[in-house]
Amino acid sequence: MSDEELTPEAVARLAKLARLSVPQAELETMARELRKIIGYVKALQEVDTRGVEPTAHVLIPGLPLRPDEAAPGVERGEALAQAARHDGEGFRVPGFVEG
Amino acid sequence: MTRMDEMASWGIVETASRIAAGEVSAEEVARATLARIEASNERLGAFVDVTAGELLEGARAVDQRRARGEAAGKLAGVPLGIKDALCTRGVTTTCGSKVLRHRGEPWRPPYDATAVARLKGEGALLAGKCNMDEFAMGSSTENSAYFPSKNPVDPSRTPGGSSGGSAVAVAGRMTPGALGSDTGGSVRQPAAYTGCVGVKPTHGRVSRFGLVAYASSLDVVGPMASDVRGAARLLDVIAGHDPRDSTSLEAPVPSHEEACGRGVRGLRVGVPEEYFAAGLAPEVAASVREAIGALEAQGAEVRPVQLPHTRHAVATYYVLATAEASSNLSRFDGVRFGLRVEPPGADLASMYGATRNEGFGPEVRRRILLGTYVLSHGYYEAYYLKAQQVRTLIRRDFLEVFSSVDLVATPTAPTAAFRLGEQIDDPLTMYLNDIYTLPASLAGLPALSVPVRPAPAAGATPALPVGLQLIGPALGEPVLFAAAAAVEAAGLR
Repeated sequence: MSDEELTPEAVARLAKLARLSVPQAELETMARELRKIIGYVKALQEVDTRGVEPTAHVLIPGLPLRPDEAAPGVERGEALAQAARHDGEGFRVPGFVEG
Repeated sequence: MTRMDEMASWGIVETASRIAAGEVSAEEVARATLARIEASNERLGAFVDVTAGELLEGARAVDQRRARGEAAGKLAGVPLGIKDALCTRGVTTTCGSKVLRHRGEPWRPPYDATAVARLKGEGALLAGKCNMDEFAMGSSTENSAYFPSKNPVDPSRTPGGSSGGSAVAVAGRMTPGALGSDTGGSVRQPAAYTGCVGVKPTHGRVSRFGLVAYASSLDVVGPMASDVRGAARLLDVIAGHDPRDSTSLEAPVPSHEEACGRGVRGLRVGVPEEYFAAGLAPEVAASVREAIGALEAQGAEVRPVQLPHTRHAVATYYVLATAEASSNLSRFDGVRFGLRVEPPGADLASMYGATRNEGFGPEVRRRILLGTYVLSHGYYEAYYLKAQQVRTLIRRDFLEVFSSVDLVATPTAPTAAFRLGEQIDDPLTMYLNDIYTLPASLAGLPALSVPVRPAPAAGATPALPVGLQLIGPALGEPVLFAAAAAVEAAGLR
């Protein structure tokens, strides 16, 4: 689909993928803004990139590796301390197994 | 000049030297800093949290170490502002966002970012956390969940962004230096708008460990300071490989501070015509050309160069940065830290959705959706892959240019600071502010902004700061500092 199809419905689908509950009333505005940005970004299509390698990241000729040694990390209590909900051993979340 | 005003006029190097020499105590400096923050922070909005207790306690410890004759470090007693995007152990770290706050309490990380730890290791003291556009997404600090920061030169104008609070702390003479982060210009543009020095090091020169990620292939921690030498000293301290960031470079760290005294005789300075095209304010062009003339007068050789893919940088950036952001920001899900919105009976997916919609501001939501779009099935090749290929072309432009010059000189931003509220409703116009800073980010190259002659005052508008951007080859920071120090010495500002 082309950016003309960046409809409020399409934005709702994107929002679902992005785990964002965009309120119905904001979908129209968001769609319009995204169409405008995508319209601008489309100019890239005019650039001749035949045979050009993509750059994902600059300047790392082979990632350096460090020795695989155990070292203390953040202590459990400290890691849990700022969670909205925990039971002292792990983070608590609402149920997610679909019945 | 009162003693307090005098202290506020000292740069990083002078503050450290005077404390080391016993001319002033670290505690006196800390008290003056807090008084300056007290006097101006409410008006200018530099800090979202001021760590007064920690600052005073740290200052007293510096004074005690000095009294005992112990080595105190290159930044002993120097108060610094730290962008709210960098983790500070036990201290507010919210990235300018509501999503890192729960039941009124900010997230307080259990560790320091490596850059912050290295500053502390040299005796620097945290004065507070600096305001920013939420998740570094913005060019005016108006996207902060707290309040917009204001330009000390003219508070009706923006200090730029996203590291606007850091720039205001320095330009407003609250702290002699600060750390920001730069993904597409977020250190350089606010430095230019407020009249301080801002450095975006080579990607990987400074560890990103503890920097809240926006776009990992572009994010760099960078120093801001009231003068060139101060910025160089900060970089000397924070640069270098870190085992906790596998993308940090293993190259040895030269003395950038020493490089400030090298001069520019024989340096070849490229001036790309693409950066002086339509859209550049004439008064900015005049100041920048005057500064390039000053380099020439000191023995540099100036020649025109071409960077033909410059005009595609904005589009390339907004595809790649949003794609990376859409992935990086998935960690803000209400589970481990920060905000959780959990309507009664909510399942996991609706908890995620409600938390993220409530926690993220409009620009962050927009960029997450844009990033999700360009990565989604059917668009990946057209947008994401295409942008990665254009990124290669932008890199090649620079490689070609650096085969014949040592550095490139351009304006940092097309205009001086714009008015608050002027561009906030038009995301695309806001993005175009970054047109001159984005190419170096995409190419991973070092760049800095140094103040030159301000744009002349006109009517009610005071003279507004203008920045000269210097871009170098990978790890070419020393050359940039040599040239920036020469521009500073020309006394144009």
